[in-house]
Formats: sequence, C-alpha cells, structure tokens
Amino acid sequence: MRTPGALAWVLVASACHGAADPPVRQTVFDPTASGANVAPVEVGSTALALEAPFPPLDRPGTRGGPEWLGVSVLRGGVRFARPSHWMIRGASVDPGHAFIQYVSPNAYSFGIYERSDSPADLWRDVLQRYENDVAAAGAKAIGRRVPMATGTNQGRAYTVERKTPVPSHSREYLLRSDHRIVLVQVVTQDDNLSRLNAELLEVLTHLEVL
Amino acid sequence: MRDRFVAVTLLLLAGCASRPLRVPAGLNWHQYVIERDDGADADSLRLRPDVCDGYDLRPDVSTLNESSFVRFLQQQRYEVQVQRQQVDAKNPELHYVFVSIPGISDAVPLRVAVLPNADEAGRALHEAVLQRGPGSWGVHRSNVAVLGPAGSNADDVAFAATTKLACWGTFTIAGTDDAFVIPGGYAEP
Repeated sequence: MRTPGALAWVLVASACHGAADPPVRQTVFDPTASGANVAPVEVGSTALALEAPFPPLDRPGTRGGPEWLGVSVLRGGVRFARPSHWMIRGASVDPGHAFIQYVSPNAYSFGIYERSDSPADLWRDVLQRYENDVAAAGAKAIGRRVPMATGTNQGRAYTVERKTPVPSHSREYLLRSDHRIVLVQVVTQDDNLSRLNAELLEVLTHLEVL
Repeated sequence: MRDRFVAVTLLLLAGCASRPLRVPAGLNWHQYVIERDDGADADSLRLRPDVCDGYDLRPDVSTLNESSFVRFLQQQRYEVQVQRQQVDAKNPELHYVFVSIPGISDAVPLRVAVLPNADEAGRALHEAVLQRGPGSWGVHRSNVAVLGPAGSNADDVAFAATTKLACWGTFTIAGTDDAFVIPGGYAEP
C-alpha cells in the first residue's frame, strides 16, 4: 500500500502543468523535470532561490493544524502562505518556465507554474492555449473556464482528469496579474477536492500574483 | 454537453427585457468595497470583511436546488415569490425568484438555474453574464447559478452586498469585455 507521501509524489509526476511535450517513457529512477536551471531539491530544506520567506504572511495554525509560512516563489512573482508541513519536491527558475511543486502529507500536490502567455493577452486566447496544452498532454478538462479570484487576482478554474500514468484529478487555476500569468495546479487521486476545500481556499485567498 | 450550456445560457437570458436594477438612492456602494490600485474597475474591487461578517463562507459541497436559495433570502427576511419556468426535459430546471426589497418599487427578478454540478453552474453563469455584457451579474454556489437583472456596477455591488447574496454565492460581474469575481464573499476553490 502506498503511503500518502508516495502517492503524492506519483501525483506530482503524473501532472504535467499543461505542457504539450510528447510523453517520454521513464522509470522511477529518471528525474522527470527538465531544463537548464532545474534544481534538485533537498526535501525539507528551503532553497532561497526557489522559495524565500515572506514573513508578513506568516500566521499560526488553528485547532492543532500546522503553522502557515509566508513565502515568495517564482523569482518573487508569486507570494502566498502555505502549511509548514508541505515539502518542496521540484522547482525551476528558468525564465518563462519557472515552477515550484509541493507535496502535502494530506496526499495531494500543489504546484505553481509560470506560463509563457503575455499578460496583455485576452483571456480567451490565454484559455484557449491552456486548453490546447491540456488536450495535447492527453488530459481532459471536465470543468472549464469558471471565473474565480484570489484576494488580488482574477482567474479561471478548471477540473482536469488524467488517465495516465495514474488516474488523477486536478483543479487548475489560471491566474493573471498585470505582469504575468501563472497556473496553479492541485492534483489528487480523490474524485473531487471537497476533502481539501478548506485548506485550498485558505491558500488561494492569500495567494498574490505580482 | 455544449448544447446544455447553450440552453442554460439562453434560459438565463430569458426575460432580458426586464427593468434594469436600480438600488435605493441612499445606498452608497463604496461602503461595501475596498478599491485597490485607486481604481473602481470591477477587477480592482474587494468586498469589505464586514459585509459577510457572521456568515458561513465555507464551501458548500452539498447538492442544492432553488429552495436552498429561497431559504437564504427568507432568512434575510425578504419576501419572496417563486415561479417555475417551463423548460425542455433535457434542460436544467429554471425558476424565477422575485424578491421584494425595501426601497425598490418592483420585486427584483432573479433567475435561478439548477445544474448538475458546481463547474457547470460557474460556467453557465459566466457565459450568461458575458452574453449580456457590462452591468450583468450573478452568484453561484455549488450546482446553483443565479442571474440578476443588469444594472450599473455600483448598483450591482450595492445590491449583492446589502442582500448578502455575495455571502451566499460567488459574486461574478461582467466588465467591458470579460467577467470578474469580486472577492471577499463566498468562494469555492
């Protein structure tokens, strides 16, 4: 039986942040991230280049829950607060393709990916490119283009279903600011995210794309 | 699936000739929002924390119908009249809910569509406000979408805040060429 951590790692590996690259056969002994500046991450450490503390968003946990750590990621392009027990599983600082992935002990993964869209692009163009990427990756958007907002950014939410390499569901959010567009991706093997709603809403409410 | 969305959008659009939303003159919409970036565009607004103070804003994962919405209005002590609209069997249920608001002469018509799930409710509302254009607005919660009568952005915000509809469902409003969610009220991840 898989542990939640192992399960979440499989989910991280199964999510492809909308990339249209053709699938490549890999074993568990192959790193799945690619790119010149992809950095191996020491689990549990905080690599400042990938994630810097942002203390104004720090806050104590409630009802025995973990503390919330304010952090700045994607070269200062995104700030948010995350549960302290999340672990970084992958990251890159490649300009235009920066990302950071976390794994929660609650058996889901959370990733933020820089998109190459221009912040001046119309929503319909941004959404169409993203949907093309999802389809090209063999996934299916079963819920699409639902308007949402963080405390400071407008976004569109999707529910995406993947069959390979393991069946998974993800909730994905395209968020935009005046300077960048990012994809936030939450992957789980649950049929829906209802178990995670409270935690995710807390994360999204305080997430700021700069 | 596409046909269903078109049908729901058309149903929500039905009755477009109804009067525009006008809130009582004394209501100042600024008292309900924080404006970021020194702008009053819909995408720079956020509801003030006190607007939904005391309301349960936790995401609702239950399956709802028009009664859930009517109960919420009645809890706010509004007089409500419900008309079930005739729709094709393949289309989702549609109800008109007429709400009597103190200071507004005619009951305000709200179109309530009951959809299969939250994604479809959010998307149907999005498409409806985009089709109607600037000033149109609505809220959605779980599988229910509610489309209000179009008004100015100021009147839309004032209405959704005073009636607490923004605390019941995700408040979505149409801008010039897109739709925006005004955060600070009810939301679903």
